[in-house]
Amino acid sequence: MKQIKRVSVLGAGVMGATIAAHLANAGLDVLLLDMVPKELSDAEQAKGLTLGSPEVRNRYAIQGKQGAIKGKGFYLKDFAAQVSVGNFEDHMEKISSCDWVVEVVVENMAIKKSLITEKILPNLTEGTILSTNTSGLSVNEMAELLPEQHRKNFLVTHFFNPPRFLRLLEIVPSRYTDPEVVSFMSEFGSKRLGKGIVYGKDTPNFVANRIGVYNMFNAMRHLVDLDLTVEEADAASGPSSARPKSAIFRTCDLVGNDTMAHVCRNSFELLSNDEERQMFQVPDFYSAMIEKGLFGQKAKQGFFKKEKDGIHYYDYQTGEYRAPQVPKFGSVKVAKKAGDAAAKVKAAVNGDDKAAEFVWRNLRDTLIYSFNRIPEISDDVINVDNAMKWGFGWEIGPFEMLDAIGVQQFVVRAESDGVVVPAAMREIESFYKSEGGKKFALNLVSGKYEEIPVSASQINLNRLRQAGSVLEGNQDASIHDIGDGVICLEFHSKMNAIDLGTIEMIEKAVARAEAGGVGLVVGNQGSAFSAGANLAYFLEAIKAKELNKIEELIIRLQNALMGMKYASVPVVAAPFGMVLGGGAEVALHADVINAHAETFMGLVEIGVGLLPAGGGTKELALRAIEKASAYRTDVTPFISKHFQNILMGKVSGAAAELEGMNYMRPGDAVTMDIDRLIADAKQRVLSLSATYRPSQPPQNLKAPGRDVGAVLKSQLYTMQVGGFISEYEMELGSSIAEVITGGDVPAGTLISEQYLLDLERENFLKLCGNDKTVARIENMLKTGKVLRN
Amino acid sequence: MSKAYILAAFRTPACRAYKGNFKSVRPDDLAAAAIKGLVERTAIDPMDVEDVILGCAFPEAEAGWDVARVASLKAGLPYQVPGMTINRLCSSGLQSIALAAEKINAGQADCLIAGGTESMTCVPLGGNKFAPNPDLVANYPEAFTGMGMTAELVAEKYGIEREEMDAFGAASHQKAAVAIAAGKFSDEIIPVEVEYAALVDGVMQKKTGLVSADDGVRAATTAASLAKLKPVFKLKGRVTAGNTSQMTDGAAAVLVVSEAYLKRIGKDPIARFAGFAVCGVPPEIMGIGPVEAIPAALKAAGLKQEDIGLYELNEAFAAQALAVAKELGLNKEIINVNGGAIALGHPLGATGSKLTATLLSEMRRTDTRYGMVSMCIGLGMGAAGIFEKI
Repeated sequence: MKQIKRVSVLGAGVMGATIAAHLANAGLDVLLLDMVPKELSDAEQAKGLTLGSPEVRNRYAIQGKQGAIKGKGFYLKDFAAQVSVGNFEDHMEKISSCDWVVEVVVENMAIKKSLITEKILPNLTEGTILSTNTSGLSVNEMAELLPEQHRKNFLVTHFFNPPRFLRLLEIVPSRYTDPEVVSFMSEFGSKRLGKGIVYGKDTPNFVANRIGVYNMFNAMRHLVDLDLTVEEADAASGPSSARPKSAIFRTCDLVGNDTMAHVCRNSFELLSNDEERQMFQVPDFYSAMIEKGLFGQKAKQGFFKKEKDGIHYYDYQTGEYRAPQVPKFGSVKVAKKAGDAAAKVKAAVNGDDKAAEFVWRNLRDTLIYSFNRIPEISDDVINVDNAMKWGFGWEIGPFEMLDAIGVQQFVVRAESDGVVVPAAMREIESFYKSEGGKKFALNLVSGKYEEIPVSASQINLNRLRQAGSVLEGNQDASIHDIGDGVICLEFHSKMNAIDLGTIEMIEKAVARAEAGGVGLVVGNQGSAFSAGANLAYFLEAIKAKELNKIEELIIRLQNALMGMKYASVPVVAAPFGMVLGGGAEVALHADVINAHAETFMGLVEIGVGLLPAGGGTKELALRAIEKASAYRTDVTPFISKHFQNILMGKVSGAAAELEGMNYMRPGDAVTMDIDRLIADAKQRVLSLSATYRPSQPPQNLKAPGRDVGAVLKSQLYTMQVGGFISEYEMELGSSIAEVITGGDVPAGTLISEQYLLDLERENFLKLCGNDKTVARIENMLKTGKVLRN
Repeated sequence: MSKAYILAAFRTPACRAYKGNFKSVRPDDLAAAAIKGLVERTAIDPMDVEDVILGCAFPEAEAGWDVARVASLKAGLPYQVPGMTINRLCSSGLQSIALAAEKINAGQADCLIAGGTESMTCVPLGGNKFAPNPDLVANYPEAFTGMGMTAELVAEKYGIEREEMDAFGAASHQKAAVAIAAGKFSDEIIPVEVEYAALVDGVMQKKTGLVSADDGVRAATTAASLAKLKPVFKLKGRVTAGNTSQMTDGAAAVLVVSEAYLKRIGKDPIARFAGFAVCGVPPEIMGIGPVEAIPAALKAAGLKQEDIGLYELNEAFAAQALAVAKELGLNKEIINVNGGAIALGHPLGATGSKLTATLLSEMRRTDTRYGMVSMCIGLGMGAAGIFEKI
């Protein structure tokens, strides 16, 4: 079987360097090369370096790698060691040992061609995959340069910036590319790199940028027509209409306005037959911005500019920046609360203010443009929808938006605007439909609905649900049969917050798995694994002076998680995204964690004036004690580290960080492709079940006791005197210290897990009774931010 | 009362913890090098030595097991020569001299080696296991206030501004750099042979080298460059890594003898130990310790502040050194004339003996009659010792 172990990335600009970083994230050995600088920089001169010094010759690659570290391109800084640097003059022969060479130099056909013929081809080994990261140049034109033996291994692999975070990878074969190479790279891209694959054709700007760039330049037209400010336009075209927070104009700033204009002009040149070609003419105000150097984020000014008093916006009529007005539109407010993405889009276009009109006109034109691009840029609607979701952060794609608005309602309204609607659209009821746990998409060429297959390497809980997989459930969680005797506990409350309903399902899922199953997966496919406990419930009980309700809930949660930990069958947690507070505690009680690479996990209870009492503090105490006793060494450093995790509410920046925090352990695993997470976790259950030996409660657990407690409290004292923590945080910290060290007992006193749970609960309830905790909870519920009182 | 004399005082170079030339040298080996050098350079009969008293602030692990005894054996002293390790944190190296002097004063000994050793690389400040007393933490938490925080509290209480502290820190580096360039430390330093091992292209390469100079001094440091550093101990504080002493590895050894012994071997001493005092202050402003100890030592020696011609006032923090000078109205021109711990480092338990070696060479060079070594001490103490040039 072909394998990719070593990759060369040619070109160390922002894109090349961050692609290199992501390849290192995937565990590959990466060689990052770029040009040799022609002149010494001042700093190099001061250091006494010459044009012959390796440090100078590799400067671009070194800088690129440093930029990728700074920009969080790597999951862990340590991963940067997997990227070695060099240059096109001294190190090209090294590409001969690579399994994949990806070219990421500047978007200029002549430069790319000369790199290929002069640098790559003389060093390319037969069988090595060669790809270009061009965002829209012709793959066929480049393929013509290649000799027969290399042509079949050449294709476009187009990453989106930033490659770590944007899921899209467009794969575009040339007319010579071996289909096996295409499918191999798709599998590699999804499984190893975690990318969502969209197939493009050899058309300018491929799929996502073709529609995305159209969408943005179209927005500029309607912006002016409707006399909106860019601030108003962005308020309307962000999350309330199922698009990213950066909306339209902030996205332009992120991409770079110079780049946007370049792509726009390029599109105009190349798209001579496009019915909307005039849309790719750079508006005058935009040209003026670029002349003034308002390139966006990289120039620290674009459509927006950060000032001390807030984010100012560019007034395209006067060319001046203006202080934020924080526009409030009724339609935006309604849409935000409308429900899922489809409901939001529907509400956003149906409002009766200028914001709604702007969203409607912009989406109207974009959706028609998307419809007209099939089969030009893609044969199916799914590809286009995925491209916009994964590449531009839309919650749903253009065709899903059409379904959300209602295709025929869309047609009627567009026509009443005097817009030309493609005749074929009038015949369409919807682009997607679901039946019996199967999802179908309309094939626009054949006019027939075709089933959208689910890969064997994936499990889609929604589809399973429609097919009747749910054994039991309530408003907060469901228990699925996901085949082969494996049960999946799926949370689906708001933000997957942990509530009584969730706890009930944890109890039942464990009981079911033990009664007749092979094992249990705890995972879901929502927007986050779990944002923590339902704070509103706590607040209500505190205000009603019903602390007994809280106590009951805590006891039940503790017991449910202990039941999970000591279940007679394996339990695998599949965390991803936000895994906070109670969510983290659930994961900590599984036998094994199979996390998604982008897992942001932490015990953050201190932010709301509490401590982890669902077994989280207990679990970290236990792990510290067990580590120390395994090596018969002092427990203090382990406890200190775990205490810091809780005291600082530390959240991992990626799953790769979790082992260092002792939240993940050897034997736990990380999945790159989010769509495979549940399936991988299920495989993990199956492999564990073959040799499973249930965990046993620890014996002879020695309390770190008041001596280690004093170490922590002494540190808290100095932090408080230093003004790093408030008086109340000192109190919170002391409670955490008390629990994690096993209370006010002499070091070495034998304790049990249940004793630690009782300590957790007592301290939790004590803190619930404090007004400052109430204020913290209220602030969090209201603003989503930590109140440092 | 028999008078106590200093026949000689030497020190190893002081090298930056973790990064410097002694990062792979143990504190017992550093002490052994100092003791061996002292015995060789004074050419005394090692069998004359009645005890070896070494100070160490964290006498555990590589500095454990009575490091004075371990170092004596390692230095090749005969087994008949005993050794004792003492600890009064940062004044341990001065306390060991005082203790030796007291034995001589009492007529109980004639020839003693005093000194100190510390490898902050091997055993960090606070020890390998910081384990404060739980009752004190609960009822008197000030006792264990972090050292940097005590400096902040001193700066606040005595009105020491960031600018003064940075200027003081920069001056320390500049004075030390000038002194090193003029070779002022070469006589007092006993070079130490160090082993270097490194994996080069998969092959382990070992070599040895002689370390004969301090390695923490940065000649290019200016107040402006220090002003860029961020406070680390307190939010919006003033104490930074740049106006704080460096963590350092080093050792020193001092030969303390009686008049009778000098007569017997026919040698002249370089100084007389003229007086010593140690006092307690509030632990949370421990840096102010010398304010109590300096007058007490002067009183013990029957001297006045004006009699002192040179001070080695340990720069644990610029904040406390400046506060001490300000409170006592010390003449800044005669304090740390060759730089202090901000540049040259503060190897905790060795510092007292190290500063003694430095003070005595400067006193000889400048023909100064009285000189003083003083320092603040963790948990709230101060010590001061006075030397009279002979």
